[in-house]
Amino acid sequence: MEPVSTLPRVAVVGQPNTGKSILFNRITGARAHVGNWPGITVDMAQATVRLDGTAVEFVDLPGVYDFTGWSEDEQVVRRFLGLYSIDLLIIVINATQIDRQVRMALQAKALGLPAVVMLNMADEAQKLGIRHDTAALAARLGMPVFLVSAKYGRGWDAAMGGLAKALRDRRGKAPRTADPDGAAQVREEDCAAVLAGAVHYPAEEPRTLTERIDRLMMHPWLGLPLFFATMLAVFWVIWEIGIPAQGWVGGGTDWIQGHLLEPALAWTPAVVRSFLVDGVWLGVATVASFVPLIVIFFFCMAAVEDSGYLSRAAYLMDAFMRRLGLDGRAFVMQMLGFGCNVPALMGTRIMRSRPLRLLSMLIIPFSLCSARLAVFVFIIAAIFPARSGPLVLFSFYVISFLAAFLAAAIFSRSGQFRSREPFVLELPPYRTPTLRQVLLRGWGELRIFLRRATNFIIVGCVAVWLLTNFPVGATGLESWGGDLGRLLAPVMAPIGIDPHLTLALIFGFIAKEVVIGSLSTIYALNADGVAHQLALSVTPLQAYSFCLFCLLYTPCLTTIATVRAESKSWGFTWFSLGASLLYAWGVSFVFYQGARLLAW
Amino acid sequence: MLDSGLTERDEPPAAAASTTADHRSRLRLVDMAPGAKVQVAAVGVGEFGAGLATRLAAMGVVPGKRLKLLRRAAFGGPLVVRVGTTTEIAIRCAEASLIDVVPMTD
Repeated sequence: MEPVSTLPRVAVVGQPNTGKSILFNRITGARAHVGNWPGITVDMAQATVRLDGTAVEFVDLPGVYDFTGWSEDEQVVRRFLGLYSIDLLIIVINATQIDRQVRMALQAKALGLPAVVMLNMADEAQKLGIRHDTAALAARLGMPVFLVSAKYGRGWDAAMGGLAKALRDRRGKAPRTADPDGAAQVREEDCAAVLAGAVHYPAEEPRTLTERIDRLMMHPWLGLPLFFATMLAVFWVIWEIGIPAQGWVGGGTDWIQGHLLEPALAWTPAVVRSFLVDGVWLGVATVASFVPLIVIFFFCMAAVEDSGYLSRAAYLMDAFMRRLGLDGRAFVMQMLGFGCNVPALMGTRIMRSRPLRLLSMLIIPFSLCSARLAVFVFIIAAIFPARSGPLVLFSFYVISFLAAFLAAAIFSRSGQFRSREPFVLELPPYRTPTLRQVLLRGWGELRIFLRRATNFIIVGCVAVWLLTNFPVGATGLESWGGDLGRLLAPVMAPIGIDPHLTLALIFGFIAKEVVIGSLSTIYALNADGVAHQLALSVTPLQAYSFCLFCLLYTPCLTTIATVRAESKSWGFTWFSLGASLLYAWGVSFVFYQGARLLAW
Repeated sequence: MLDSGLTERDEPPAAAASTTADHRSRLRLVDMAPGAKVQVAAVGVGEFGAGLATRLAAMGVVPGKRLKLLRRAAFGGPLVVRVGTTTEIAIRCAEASLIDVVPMTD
């Protein structure tokens, strides 16, 4: 395969929980971007950095336990090393866990790859009383070894100097590829021989803060309540800051629309103006409204993940989730989906097995997000007696969980979603995330979201605009969308949803926030008028059925765009969309017809 | 994905000697009680194939390694095991039943 660039290339590899990303970020600063490597299916950060006066390309490979393992990430690393030649490999090793991670350095040596070892987290090693003789290790491994703390910058200048020197030594030599499949196994004796005398662990097991915290957080009975309290806290932050921030951004885009866009377009024909404002601009505004949510969500996520709590939460929920064919991590994401499905879908990246990840992505859209909540609150207030309102709303939260669990239990029976990944999860010690890490993460995720979702959402908004604004001059049920609503009547009538509400559901494809506003357009009434009209024309049974459908069919275009971007598969995206539509219809049908039978 | 109902129970059978006949005197990590200190005797290849052994080796679970069972989750959930002095892992019962151990006294 053609090399992507002709610069000297350095690949960074290491196990999860070695601080590899932090180390990569410290080398490259904020310059890193997601590169496109033909033949490689996952995103990898890369950056060009001047080192010792020469431009050098750095690539951050996925964190892997082994060069020969079976997980998706391990296959990616293997493929990368086979396809793209490198001038140097940086092997990041957690200095406190060198007893087992030294294996990776020996594997690289066996593969004949030029490498340097970075013993990261020197600060933690010092605290635990673990000592390293880097000179002896370097001599035995046949590669330079540096003891650093990427988080705090300790030993950094020496390590960068050593890196530059290693690259100078490589000048004029051909870059190397490697075939890990053909490599000999590293034997236990070889690992022990490298470590003997060069690494000293204290004789007594140190009593750590992590141990004391875990005694509480992972307690057989207290652990779960504490987990739910933690999730509630994260949820609260998203709710209290993220949702209002969405409103502020909405106010901003409304202001731009009213004060800048519409006056500027005043001279254009009505159709063009409507296209630009209600189609294209609506798409831009929809994307913008998600920005604060994504940022806040990933700030919280980065904090929870970097602290080490996420894998504990997965441990706590695993006994239950295992029975659904998922694992504990899926539940964490499902909970976070109650704020907004989009970042929760992006968060499934922590899962290494693709079937497991796809199954999680299939059930997250059933989480009752805040946008759907707004619809339910409006409908419930309009149609149900005030006393029963909270109960009705609560029932939707219960159904949201049950629907997701049922879907998981059903789909996990299919081979495509059955994960054969064994559950062996590392529990890193608790660490305080640095502000820099958290900010970098939030910013990085935001850029990824904007790049992937923007076009898709704008195109979707334009499509719905076409449906609801043509033929020219038509509104409500007379538009093409209205025709579609009437066309769907034979399908929607059995679940108690009339053409007006069907049209609202079509609008709801863009985003559930649009549903209430669209009802105003459809009935040509203001919000109060719509509430009155609904109370007269829609029975509580029909309203409940409508809400059920709203809960279970696709939450919004942004969610579809995210499913597509994260799964990198249109097939899966269509499946997810189709399955949720069928599911929504089925549940509404069973409810509506069942309730009518009972009531008769 | 479940193995024999034996390992799915809530209560950890501390008396490891009472394992079923086909395991005879073999002691498995999953049979140990919290607080137990053991040494890995062998890592078996079960339904997960050699991949699990490779992953466990990368996490430090290799013959001769000292392990300490720290805790067990409720409802037959995963075990928490300290591998050596500085690595802690969560592992499901089915996976832990593939690890043969010998108790250590110190």
